[in-house]
Amino acid sequence: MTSFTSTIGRSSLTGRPAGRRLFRRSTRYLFVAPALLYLALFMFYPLLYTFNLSVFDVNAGNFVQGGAPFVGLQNYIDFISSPDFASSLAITLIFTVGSLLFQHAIGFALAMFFNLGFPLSGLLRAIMMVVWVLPAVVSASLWRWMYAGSYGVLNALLGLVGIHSTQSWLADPSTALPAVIIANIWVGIPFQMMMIYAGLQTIPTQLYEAAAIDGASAWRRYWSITVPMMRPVILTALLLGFVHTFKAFDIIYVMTSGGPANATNVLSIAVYKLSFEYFRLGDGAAAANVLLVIPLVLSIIYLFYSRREERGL
Amino acid sequence: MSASRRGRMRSRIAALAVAAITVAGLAACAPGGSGAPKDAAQETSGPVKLTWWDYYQPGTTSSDELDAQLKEYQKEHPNVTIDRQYIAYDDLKKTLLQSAGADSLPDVVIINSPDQQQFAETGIAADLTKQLKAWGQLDKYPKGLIQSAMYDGKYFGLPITANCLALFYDKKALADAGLKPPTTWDELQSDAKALTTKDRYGFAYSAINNQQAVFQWLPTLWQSGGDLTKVNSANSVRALQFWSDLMKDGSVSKEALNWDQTGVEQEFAQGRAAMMINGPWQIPTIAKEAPNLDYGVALLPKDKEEASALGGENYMVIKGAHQDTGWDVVKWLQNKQRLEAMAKAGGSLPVRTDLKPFDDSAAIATFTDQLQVARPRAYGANYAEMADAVVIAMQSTLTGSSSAQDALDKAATTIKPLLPKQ
Repeated sequence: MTSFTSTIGRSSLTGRPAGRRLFRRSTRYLFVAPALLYLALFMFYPLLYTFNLSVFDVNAGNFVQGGAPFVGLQNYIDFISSPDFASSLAITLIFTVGSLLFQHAIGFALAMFFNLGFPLSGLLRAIMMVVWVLPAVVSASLWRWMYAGSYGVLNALLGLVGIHSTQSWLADPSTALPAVIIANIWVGIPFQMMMIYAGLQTIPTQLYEAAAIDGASAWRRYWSITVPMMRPVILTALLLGFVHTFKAFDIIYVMTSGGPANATNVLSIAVYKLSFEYFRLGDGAAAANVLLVIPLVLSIIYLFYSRREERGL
Repeated sequence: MSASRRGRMRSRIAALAVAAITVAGLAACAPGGSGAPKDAAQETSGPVKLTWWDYYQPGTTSSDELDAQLKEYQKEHPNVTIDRQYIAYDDLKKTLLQSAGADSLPDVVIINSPDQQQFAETGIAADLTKQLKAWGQLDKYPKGLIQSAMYDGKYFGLPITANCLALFYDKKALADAGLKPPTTWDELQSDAKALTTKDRYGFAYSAINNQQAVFQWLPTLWQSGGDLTKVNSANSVRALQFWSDLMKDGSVSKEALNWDQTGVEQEFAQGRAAMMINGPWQIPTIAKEAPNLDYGVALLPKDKEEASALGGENYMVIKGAHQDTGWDVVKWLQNKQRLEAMAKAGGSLPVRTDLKPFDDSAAIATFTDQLQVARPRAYGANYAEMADAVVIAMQSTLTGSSSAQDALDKAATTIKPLLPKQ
């Protein structure tokens, strides 16, 4: 890199050495400038704008006319101390952990299965990806229809095995959250599967062959080769899955819009309602920042961890 | 590249990032305000290009009729071009607000009437009080309708369509059971029970998780003598308990929590409900989906009072350089023939007392009667949030996870600070 910058310096500048040095120094920044500009425009600016909104009492009126009063952290205090916050946070965590556990476990199992490389496995894998590619609105509408009471697919299937049910799964507060989680598990499996599958491909087969010759059982090979070799991939898949699920919005919004009676009211829906239904933009921005905190903390832990791993290698 | 060099590089990048953040931070100040409405400039007689937003889906009868009328206006006024744009209903409010922030608002908008006050509060709507008074036709509009366009004692729009809720009933089902349409809550409850069979519910309403459920329940609330301003009063609690009892009796399907008003209409049209609460816009739909269904429309059963909920759309003219032209178009569209044509296209009730109903069916006549006791949802700028609190109370009670009193007590604490200050 050093020689590259100095070549440019020599060929394009015949000025004094000081000028050349300045140019040489600034080329470095020119190289990182596009990335920085991108970050500034699409990451820092929205983050700062949201933070800025969150410390003012912004509503529809003063958003248009100006003059929103500064309220410091009051919007944050209001949001966290509102009676629905604790239940929304709990619902979000149940939704996230519940979805992710099964997405990951089933995705892992399927990845191991596809890793056997049987005929047509490539085609089947591609078909599985369709679920991931489907727009969330489409998958959510499908599940809505399956969970319906009088004409739902689920009740019809239950009828086939002799269970008469008219349960409207999304209209009952006790079944709505599990129902939404199951739909989300289905949506998230292919992503976990692809991450794990890609990881499995990097493990040299000689390791397994050697272990098999030494008499290691399949179970032993899994715990002593697959899991340790896969740890970075597993962590990445879990982290990405967590962040993605924690802020999931569209699938829940289409299926229940947070209902019935707030039973599936995850934080992302609370944020959306504050900002775009009630037009309480200050409160909505504060809520959005609160929603950011948990994935952010996890990401930082992950970064530290992966850096330590890297150094260890 | 050596480690120390890499370290230096990294710290320089960090310094740059900090600089970028600081610059952005310096720019931070009280948000919004860029769309502060300009003073209405005097219109010159040169060409004017009006931007027009509405949520009439292209290809529908309403959309075609409006297109035809706007074309006619442009023919009569060659200096005016109208650029009509379709914005989906779900996006309209959001898009309007974002455009207000970005200073790219349209000039005329058709909005759902309960949203008018919210936009009047934002200051983007032009105050038409002077123009309307000079026009001198305000007395031609039913009181509830014109109230929906008012905020703070000023006029911000005019109605284009109007509707309200009434009781639809399956004539054959009622005749078979030897019943007449119910006129009181008690009759509604006993009739609904009597009409419920193995494959049919006696009654249907919408209790879905959005404002439609509140629109459906408000008539019952008002009939009881209750109101959103006293949502946990004894009467209001009684109104919610009544709906809850209808479901507990088995006269209303638990699936009502999933039905929007179209869902309710489908249950009725397919014979899975003998009676329903719904509006006149469903009449053309039922005619298409169930042409053989013999049904009637009756006034909603009353309790302490008669009441129905008023719906419809209003015109809103946006403050700015084109507001005079905008008002001129709206005024031009409020012509008897044009309004009657719009009403026919959209299944709307007459928005003015001097209009003829779009057809002479008994159903429309009943709806027009019902309109006289229909009330607007004129609860100020925070109605959307109040309605959400009510939906949660409704659903908690209907699913049995809370008593009507507890649910409405909770709603009342949310609603109280949101009510317009008197």
